[in-house]
Amino acid sequence: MLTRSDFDQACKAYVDAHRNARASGVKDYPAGWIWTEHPYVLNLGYLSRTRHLSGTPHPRTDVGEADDFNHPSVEEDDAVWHSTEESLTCNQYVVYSATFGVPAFYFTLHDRSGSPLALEQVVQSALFRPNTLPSPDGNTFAVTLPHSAFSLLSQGDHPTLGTPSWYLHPCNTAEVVGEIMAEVEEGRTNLLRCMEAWFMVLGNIVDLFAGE
Amino acid sequence: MHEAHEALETYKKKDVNKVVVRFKAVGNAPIMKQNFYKITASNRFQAVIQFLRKELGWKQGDPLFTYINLAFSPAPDDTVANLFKSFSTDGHLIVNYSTTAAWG
Repeated sequence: MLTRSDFDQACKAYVDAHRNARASGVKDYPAGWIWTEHPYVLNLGYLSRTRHLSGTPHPRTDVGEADDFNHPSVEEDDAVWHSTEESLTCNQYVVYSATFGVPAFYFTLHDRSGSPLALEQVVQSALFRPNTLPSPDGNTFAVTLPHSAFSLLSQGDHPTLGTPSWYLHPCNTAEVVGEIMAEVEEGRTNLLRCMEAWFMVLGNIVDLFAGE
Repeated sequence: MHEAHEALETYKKKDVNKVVVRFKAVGNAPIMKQNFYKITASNRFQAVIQFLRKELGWKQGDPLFTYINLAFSPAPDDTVANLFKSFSTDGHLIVNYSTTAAWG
């Protein structure tokens, strides 16, 4: 469990420690986060960054078998930009959940025209690792695991910005991060390490390196 | 001709090259009797996850999370060879595993 002040310190330490993606391309700690505070209210700081993800391409109509039409087959040219492939804008945030005393992951996902994606598209997007989220099963506002009291992924307002977002429910976060911190070697159980552990757990279902 | 033969031999060797993986339980995850295993380096990490599930007797739906050096969660398509090259310590790759449901 973190206090609000712990969270602030942890985030700032993380931003400093992992400012840029590793030159070697090694994908361990997601980088490029910015710490932002509310213009005039204290204690509402959060981390943010924006990523551009490739969207699911719309199904392409087949060119057709060359044999049927006696025409030479058209070769797919990889250099051609396929206009059916969308680029999605994903705003990612790490905010403090006062209820649970832990960081929580909020995000928005829009297509090129600025329209927010529907839940089904969010679940299938490049933001999440494949096969980690259950299907929404017709639900349009939340994804819930069976036997679970809370929805895993649902909608809520960003605590500082007030804008509508998706967020991953943090009720189990404290327990899981606590377990990990218990295994961390002596002398390294500081707030930065805590934040790194949190990102590690998040990385199980969110692809934190998508769009880099 | 000799160079070509050597080159082919090198690639053949890469395929069967095995690396040592050491599994370490986190929290309440069951501890296995045997923690060190040799795994073919060309495997994707997905194979390690499936192997661990089998050893633990964990079904497909049961929560199982894996980490490298308690630092990050590897993508299932990362190859064991690359992970070993970048993150091995003392000649083995540490794979931490947890069965506590993280979400919901």
